[in-house]
Amino acid sequence: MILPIGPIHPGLKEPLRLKLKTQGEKVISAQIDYGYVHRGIERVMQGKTWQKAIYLSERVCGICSYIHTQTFAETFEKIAGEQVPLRAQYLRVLTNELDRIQSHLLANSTYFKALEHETLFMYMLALREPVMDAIELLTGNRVNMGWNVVGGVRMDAQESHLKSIMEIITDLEKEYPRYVEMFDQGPLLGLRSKDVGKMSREDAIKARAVGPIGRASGIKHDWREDHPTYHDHLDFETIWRKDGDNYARTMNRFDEITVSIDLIKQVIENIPPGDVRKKVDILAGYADWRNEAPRGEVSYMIETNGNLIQNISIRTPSIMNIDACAKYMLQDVATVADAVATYASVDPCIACTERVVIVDESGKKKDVEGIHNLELS
Amino acid sequence: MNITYSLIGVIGTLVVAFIVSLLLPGIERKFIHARIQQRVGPPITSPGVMAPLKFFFKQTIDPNSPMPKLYNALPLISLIVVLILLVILIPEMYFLGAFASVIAIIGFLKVEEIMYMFMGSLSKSVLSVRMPFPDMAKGAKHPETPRTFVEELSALRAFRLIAFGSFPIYIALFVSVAVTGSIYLSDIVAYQQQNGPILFTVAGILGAVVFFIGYMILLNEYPFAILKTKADVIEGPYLEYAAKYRSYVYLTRGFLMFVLASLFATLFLGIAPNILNPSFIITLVVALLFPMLMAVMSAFSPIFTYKQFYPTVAAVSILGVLAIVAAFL
Repeated sequence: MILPIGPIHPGLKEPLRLKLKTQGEKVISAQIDYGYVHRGIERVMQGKTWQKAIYLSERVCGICSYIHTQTFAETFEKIAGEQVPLRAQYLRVLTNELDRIQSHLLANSTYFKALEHETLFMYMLALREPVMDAIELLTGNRVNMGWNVVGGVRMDAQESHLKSIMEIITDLEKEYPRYVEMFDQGPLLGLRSKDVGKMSREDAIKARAVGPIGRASGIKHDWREDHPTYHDHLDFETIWRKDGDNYARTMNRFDEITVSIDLIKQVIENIPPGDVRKKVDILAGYADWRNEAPRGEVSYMIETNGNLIQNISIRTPSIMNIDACAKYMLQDVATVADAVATYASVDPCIACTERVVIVDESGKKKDVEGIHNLELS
Repeated sequence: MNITYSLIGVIGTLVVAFIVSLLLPGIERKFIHARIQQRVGPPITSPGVMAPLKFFFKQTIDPNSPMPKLYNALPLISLIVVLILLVILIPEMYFLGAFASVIAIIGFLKVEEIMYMFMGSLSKSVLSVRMPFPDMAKGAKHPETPRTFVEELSALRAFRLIAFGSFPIYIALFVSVAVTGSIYLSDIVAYQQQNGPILFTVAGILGAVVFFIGYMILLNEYPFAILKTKADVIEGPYLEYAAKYRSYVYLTRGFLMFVLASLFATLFLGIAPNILNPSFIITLVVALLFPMLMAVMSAFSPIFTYKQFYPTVAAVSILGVLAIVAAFL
């Protein structure tokens, strides 16, 4: 039997259809259908200046919006061959890590909601609120921050702001292990999470899984290792596991929050004085840039004539992770409830994903309906 | 005079039970779930009183069902079955003989359980119907593959629950039968009035634990709520109920909470529900205590799939069998 779940379903945050091939309660295999959201952000960006396009890039994702503006700005800075002032680099790390914490807490709360552990779901959201407050304190907004510009960040952080953020992070560091322990040590949650939705390292490589999802299956790689600010100025440890199940993916996100807390502390303690923005002359050219978003690798490829964007392509992490979920994690899952929980453990973001560009090798023109027939497995 | 007295007893008990049962869901959510989850929670009257009241005045929408009238009738039938269960627990009704026995109670509880299966199999919700599969909007990719509905999955789960999920509560009911040597409620109550409550024996303690787990399973409360998992089957059998029919669903659940607690008080404490008996206060205490304990347990549990459900039911059933063995020792 085929059990269709979605596109409109309380278990899914965003529209998408899971087609579960079931035998009684057991899920034999799964297919995932996209195509319920049409935005065309990249097309809208074409022919616009960076000052206008950066606001669109922030709206690619509603959860990890920050990293999109940073990656956008860094791509232009690469075209210009400029590096932003060190204080601006530190402030970017600070915002990025705060954003990662709130994203990971939201992702785990969604996973707990999929397990129907309402209490832990509420606790995660309660922990997230002060972090959102910290983001608002620093940038003036909670979600679409408008914080990055090409050449630095929009405004400087006051000492009092940094002190308040430090207090919030210290409180989080104190409270947070109790909730991690509830998940890590709780036998019931362990029963629902361990050995469920497993993906081997080989399968993760084949599916090009990225971020905490790939790292949970043994791919030890984090793009922050290669980022100049992290690489040159901060101590940083990549979190990874070998198990590849729902438990590993959730614990990876929990442990990455600990790393982010440590990075924020390093930033606040060592942030140098100086400018937070410099003038950058945009040159004509092409560049690509990768960053580690909360969900994994996000990459921007931009071609500009020195004034307007001629071509832009954005690749977000969810497309690879959702593909990995359909092809490898949702095979021989014991129950439909486990399948939905596995899907939630991937932290999928459909808003990010629904910008698939189809390259038709035959040269025939593809219409919108052609996109609908795309299947991932 | 005796008939009047009995009528006042039966009607009064039903009225008080109904009023208390309206508040039980609110107590569960406001005082336990919300406190544990560090939030304010809804007003105490909201889940049990105001929500059913609100739904009574909503527009009724025909469900997507092959037999919509039967589907809509099922919550009312469930409510009547639960009402009958309470009536036969009241001492004034013990003259009914076999109807006021543990066997009759099991029969009525079984009817209440079967309703979920009917509800699930008769519901074809908008979530599956409006998006037909094989997918007409996106091209048929699975020709000759039968389509299923989320509610059908819940019907399948209800069937499994009928088969094994209700073992614990039935075994717990037979603990009092094993102790007293009678299936009649009148004998069970009389025995405990003479010899003290069964609860304070080894068999009684074990039986109470088993009864409580059975109580949670029968009420489909977390972690035993696989029948209506929001993550996959959404609300399962209840999904298509609207307006007054949804109201009946809410009323039935609150009432069943009270009835099962009264059943426990009758079988394990020897206190049958009767408004004219001062010990009725103990029934009320049990009726309050059970949902509160249940709420604490459910607040810290994820939902069980069958992988966890089977061993739990097996272990609790074995405990129940031990309780029966202890009753004979």
